[in-house]
Order: sequence, then structure tokens, then C-alpha cells
Amino acid sequence: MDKLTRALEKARQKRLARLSSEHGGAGELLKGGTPNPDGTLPVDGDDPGSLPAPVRRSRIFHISDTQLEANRLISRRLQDRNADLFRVLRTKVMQEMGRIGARTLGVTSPVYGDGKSIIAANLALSLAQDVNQTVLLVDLDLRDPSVQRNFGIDAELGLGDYLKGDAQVPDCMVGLDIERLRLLPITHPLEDSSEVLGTPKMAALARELKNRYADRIVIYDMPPLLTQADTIAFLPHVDAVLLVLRDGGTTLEDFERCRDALANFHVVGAVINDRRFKLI
Amino acid sequence: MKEMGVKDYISILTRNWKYFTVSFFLVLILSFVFTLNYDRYKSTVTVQIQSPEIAENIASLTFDGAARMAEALADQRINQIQQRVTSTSGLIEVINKLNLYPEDRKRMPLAEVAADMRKKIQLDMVSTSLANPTAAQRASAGQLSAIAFNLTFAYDDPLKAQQTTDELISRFLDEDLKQRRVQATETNAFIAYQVTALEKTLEEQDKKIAEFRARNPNARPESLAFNQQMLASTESSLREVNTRISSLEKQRGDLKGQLALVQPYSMAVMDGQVLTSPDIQLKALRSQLAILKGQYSERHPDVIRVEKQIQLLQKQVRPTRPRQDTSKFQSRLIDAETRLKILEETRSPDHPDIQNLKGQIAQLKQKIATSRATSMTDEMVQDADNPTYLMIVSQIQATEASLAPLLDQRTELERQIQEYQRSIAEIPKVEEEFSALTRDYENTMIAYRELRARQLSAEMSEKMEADHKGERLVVINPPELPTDTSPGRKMLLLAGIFLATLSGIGTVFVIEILSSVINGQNHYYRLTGTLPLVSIPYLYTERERQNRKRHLLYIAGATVAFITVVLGSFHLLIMPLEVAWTLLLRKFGIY
Repeated sequence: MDKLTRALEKARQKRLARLSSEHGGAGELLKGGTPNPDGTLPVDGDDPGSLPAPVRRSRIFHISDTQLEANRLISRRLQDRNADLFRVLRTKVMQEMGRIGARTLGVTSPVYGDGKSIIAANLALSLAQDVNQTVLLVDLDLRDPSVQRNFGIDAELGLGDYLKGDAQVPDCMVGLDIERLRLLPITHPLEDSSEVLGTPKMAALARELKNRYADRIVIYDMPPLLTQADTIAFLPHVDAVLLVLRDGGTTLEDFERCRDALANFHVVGAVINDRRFKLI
Repeated sequence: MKEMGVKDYISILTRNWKYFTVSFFLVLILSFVFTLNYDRYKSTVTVQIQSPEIAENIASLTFDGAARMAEALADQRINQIQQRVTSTSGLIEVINKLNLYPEDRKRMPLAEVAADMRKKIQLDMVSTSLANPTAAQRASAGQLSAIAFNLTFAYDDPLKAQQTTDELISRFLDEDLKQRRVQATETNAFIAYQVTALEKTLEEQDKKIAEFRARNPNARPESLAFNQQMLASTESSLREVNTRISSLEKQRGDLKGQLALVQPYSMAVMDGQVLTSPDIQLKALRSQLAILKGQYSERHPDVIRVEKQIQLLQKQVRPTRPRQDTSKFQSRLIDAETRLKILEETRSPDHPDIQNLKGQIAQLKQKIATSRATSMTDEMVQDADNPTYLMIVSQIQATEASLAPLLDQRTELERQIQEYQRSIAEIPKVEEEFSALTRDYENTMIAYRELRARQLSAEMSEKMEADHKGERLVVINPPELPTDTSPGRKMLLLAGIFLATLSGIGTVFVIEILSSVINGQNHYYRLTGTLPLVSIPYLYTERERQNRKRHLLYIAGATVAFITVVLGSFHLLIMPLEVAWTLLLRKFGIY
């Protein structure tokens, strides 16, 4: 452990101590040097004060680059060809969304394993790099929630709690020490989730996210289009859809079915993931 | 971008490299094994079709066309011999002799084994280069003849392959020799037979012509000009003879006129009178007698003397004969001849009347002849003594003597003229007949000459065959012991590599066609008409990269270790590696 790290650690502890003294909550001290620091302190969110949030329980998690890299979230890197690809994707997506006036974007794929969650997370990170955008990444994949895992956070409340009625939306949001990025994770998989996304509560969530945080771009990490029946039910609540396909993995049949399912929605485009060879 | 480009193909290959590799190595190993076990050896013999050692145009001088055709038929002949050599019975002999196909023979009838063997015997003609204009010309006429041929036999044992090829080619040469000899002899015999037949015909025609000539000795067409010339010259001779005859006759007439004026007797003077001839003397004596009788008695000696003188003179003076005798005979002769002609038309030649008439005619002719012969002397006085007279007489006689042969000559000439005229008249008819005969003869003669030349050439070619000097087959390149399989192992291995590559590519493309997944952004473009926003590679984490590196190192190490162990145990347990390597190289014909 070098001096710099120790100094950083010290500074952070001071800051956390100050924050916890303000809220009087149970602030956990960080274990220095661990790649998974769990700073779970009630914090005043990054939101501008315009929102009169009744309970502000948003926590700010520290995210290290090593942590992100280990989970393939690389779009914040500067000198990286893959990060550049995500910046290209960001630009194209923003152009397309701006053209149609969309604020919410659903990222989905035909089946599991296509890498949509990584794409969604990387896209969110890349968007958050842009100083003009505030981004909210919402995990909708109730059966296999991955946002929490990918970002390496351990939130107390998540979308599941909201759906059960245990928590309000703002309570479930997670702040990071990455500027302009917030997460709405799912803490535990919900096995009997087939009908959840079609419920009025979800519609209300979508409405709330869209309306209350009007300046935000909301990215929904949706379940696969073809394996989860309720994905389609939620589609009307998103402005635009980004389809992730896996090179050499997505079958043509699945692709056609996705196209049929998405025929009536705005699809900003497709991302070929897991490209095997770069030739063109 | 819409069409599949080279890059798409490469990307198809590269993304399916595993299939490619598996298929490639599978086929490669198979072909390697196949190559190692491949044993098909070819032994080839090259045989030259040699031209006759004696130049062909000497051997068959008049027979050039046929000879060329025979040469052109060399291919055909070789094929015929091939059929004979590779007949089932012939091949069975070879199989038994060299003990070929021992295993096949156990499970197949021998005839089938022979049929299989026949397929492995290959005969290739080698023709002259078409750069040679003559050859090109003949090639276009479909007459190009081979100058050599290759006989190849393939077998799975190099030594047997060589032996079999040797056996086959020796049978081939034997067969050729036999066939040629038989052919030459037969040809010769046939031609000889024909020549004999023609000779007979010729002889007959010759005889006919000779007979015809004998029949028409003068009427030969070639004598026309001669006859005409002879006719002309004979006519002119006749004219000349006639001229001479008439001049002689004129001379005779003149002489006769002179003779009439000359007294045959010399002048005798009596009583003052010149008595020139006995007649006048007689007259004078008679008048003297009359005078004397008037003066004297009859017994007067003078009268008696005169009377005696008259008697004597009377003896001297011949009585003049009538001159019309000859003409009388002539008219009788004509009369008799006319009657004879009439009788001859109605009666047979033996009829007594005719015989009688012929006798009469002969008598008359004789009489006329004698009277003519005497007529001349009749005019003359026998006892003339006047020298002038005698001289003229002798002149007349000389004239007549030279006239007689001329008359004969004239008769002869006239006969000849008639003869020539007849010959000339006959010539056209004879000529036609003769030319027909000659034509036949000449035609036969031409045929005979041709055949004779042919016979000569046939005899010569038979002799050439007998002396081994005719066109024949010479082994230029005896069958060698094949050292490499056919096709060579190197080639087989190359083909194997090629095939393996093909099969790899084929497998990949079949898999690509069968696969129903999205492959790359171009594929996506072809499906939708738009490009994906981005295509993102697999995002490796640092740890994955390191793991991968380590993994590859492990694999490489394990492979090296494995190979070392395998080679080492091979080296120790089976055979030293360098020996194996040399063997392998030799097997593939590299070393």
C-alpha cells in the first residue's frame, strides 16, 4: 500500500465521517485497499435540489477502475479502442434519440448471454462521461440481475423492494462516485417475475422515471426479448430500443423474431457484440 | 458491401478455423496413409516403328501410293496386334507364366482377371511433330502415322510390372513379325496367280493378232501409205513402159514400111533385065516360056530348061497364106468363152460340155499364139538375100525382142496396180478390226506390266521380311524397373495437401451454409439493409488475457513434451529417427 493510496483512503474516511455525522445513519467504514469497498452511507444525491425527495437514502458507492475492468466495463478508459467504440455508439445513439425525442432507451437482446448488460452498462458509463448527460441505468432483468454485480456494489434496496412496495423509487437509487451516473439495481433475483414488468407498478415507475427526472437519460437493462414474456409488455414504456446481437451466436430465427417483436417500436439500431474478427 | 467479397470469404474461413483445421488434418492424414500404402508401379517400353532399311521408294518404285497407305495403316496394324496380344487367352498365358494377381485368381475366374489386366495395359501412339509440313498435311488427311508407341503396364509390384511389360512387348514383336511375314507371302502368292492368268490372256490375244496379220498381209493399216506410194510409182512405171512400148511399136512400123520398100533379093540380070525377086524372075521365065513355046516344040531343050527353071522358082516362091486366120480364131475363142461362161452358171464344172469347151478354148488359144508367132516371119521373105533387107529384118527382130519383155512388164504392172488398189480399198475395214485387237492387247499389256511391277515389289517385300529388312518394330527403350509409384508419391502427397485444403474449405462453407446465425456486420447488412451501430469485440479482462497466455504456454509445452516423448519412444523402440526419416524421404521419392 503506497502513500498515495493511504492519503486517498484517509481523505475518503474523513468525508464519510462528515456525511454520516450529518445523517446520523449507520455508516460503515471502508476497508482500505479492498477492490470492493462498500461505502453505504445515506447521502445527499447528485440530484439538484429541485427535487423534494421525502427520504433521501441514496448511497454513494465508490467504484474503482480495477473493479470496472474486471467486469468488462471499460468505456471510461481514454486510450482504448474498445472505449472508443462505445463512444461511437454513444454518439450514434444520442443522435438517433435526439432525432426522435427519446429520453429512455431499452437495451435488450434475443436471448441470455448476448452481452446486453455489459453493453448497457458500458453505454451508461460512456454517456455519463459526456458532461451534458445525466444517466440512470435501471436493471429490469429480474431473473438475472447483473447491474449490481457488474458495478460491484451491494445495495440494500433495489427495484425488487419497490415492486414489493417496501421502498420508494428514490430510495432504491444508488449513487456512484462516477459523476452523472446513477443506478437502479435489483438486489436479489425474483424467480416468479414473469408478469412483473407488465404490472401497473412498472408502468408507474417508467412514468415516474421519465417525468420526474426529465433531464436524465434512462437506460433500461431489459431481460432478453425472447426468453422473458414480459419484456415485450414493458416495451411500450421505453422511447427507443437498442438491440444487442451476438456475432455467430444469434440465430437468424431469433433475429427475425426480435425484428417482428420490435416492429412497432423505435429501434435506434443494433450492436453486434462479441465480434470475432475485425476485418471491415 | 452488399455482395460477398473476398474479405467475407476470408472472415468465413477465419471464424470457422476449427472446422477447417479438423477437416484439413483429417484428409491430410488420410492421404498420407493412402500415399504410404499406395503401390501401383508402371513400367513402360518405347517401341519405334522403324522405316524399312531399304528406302521405301526403291522397294516399291511403282507402288508409292499403296506403300504410303500401308505406312498410314501402321497404327491400325499395331492396334490389331494389340488386340491379339491382349486377347484373353494371351493374357492368361502371361498371368500363368509370371504368376500375376495371385489373390485375384483365387476369388475370380481367370477370364475376369485377364479383363482387369487388359485395362492396365496401355498403348499410346507417338506421332511426328506437326511442325513438319508433310506430316501436318498428312495429319489433316487423317493419314498421319505413328513413329513410335509406348506400351505401359501397371502392377503393384515393380519387378512384376517390369517383367510383364517385357513379356508383353516380346509377344507383341513376335506377333508383328509373324503377321507381316504371312501377309507378305500371301500377297506375293496372290499376285503371282494373277500374273499367270494375265499372261495366258496376253498369249491368246497375241495369237489372235498374229492370225489376223497372216490373214491380211497387205492390208495392215500401217501399209496404207506404202501401198499408196507404191501404187503411184507403179502407175508411173506403167506409163513409162507404155511410152516405151509405143515408141518401139512405132519403130517397128517404120522398119516394116522400109522393109516393104526394099527388095528382099539381090538384083539378078537376065536378058538385060534386072530381076530382083523370084516372083519377077518367075514372071520373066513364064513369059520367056510362052515365047519359047511359040517358037519351039515342047521338047525343045530351051523350053524344058525354062520349064525346069520355073519349077525350081515356083518352089522358091511360097504361096501366100490367108491372113484372116488369126482373126477367125479370135472370134471363135470369144464365142467359146461366152458359151463357157453361160454353161458355168448353170452346170457343174465337171460337166462334159464345159470340159469340151475348155479343151476347145485351150486349142484356140494355142492356135492364136502360133499364128501370132508365125505372123511376123510370114511377112518376111525367107530367102531374102538383099543385105539392106536383111539388115532391116534384123532391126525389126531386135525391136520385137525388146518389145516382148516390155509387154510382159506392162501386164505385170497392171496386175500390181490392181493389187494395190484392192489393198487400199480394204484398209479401213481391216484397220477397225485390227485396232480393236490391238487395243485389247495393249490394255492387257498395261495391266500385265502393272501387275508385274507389283509382283516385283511384293517379292521384294517378302524378301525384305525374310531378311528382316522391312518396316519393323524396334525396342528403343526397354522396360525399366519402376522406382516410384505412378503417379509418384510426391505428387500424391501434393494432391493430398490440395485435397485437404479443399476439404477444409468445403467443410467450412458447408457449415457456413448450414449455420443460421448472424455472422458479422456484413451479414447483418445483408439481412437488414443497414449497418449495426457498432460491432464490439469480446472484451477481455486483464486476468483473462493473462490466463490465456498461460494457457497457450501450457499447451505449447505439453505439445512439445508429447512430441518429444513420442519421437523418443519411436527412436528407442521402433527404429532410429534418422533411418525413419531417410525411409520416409525415399518413399516419397525426394531423396
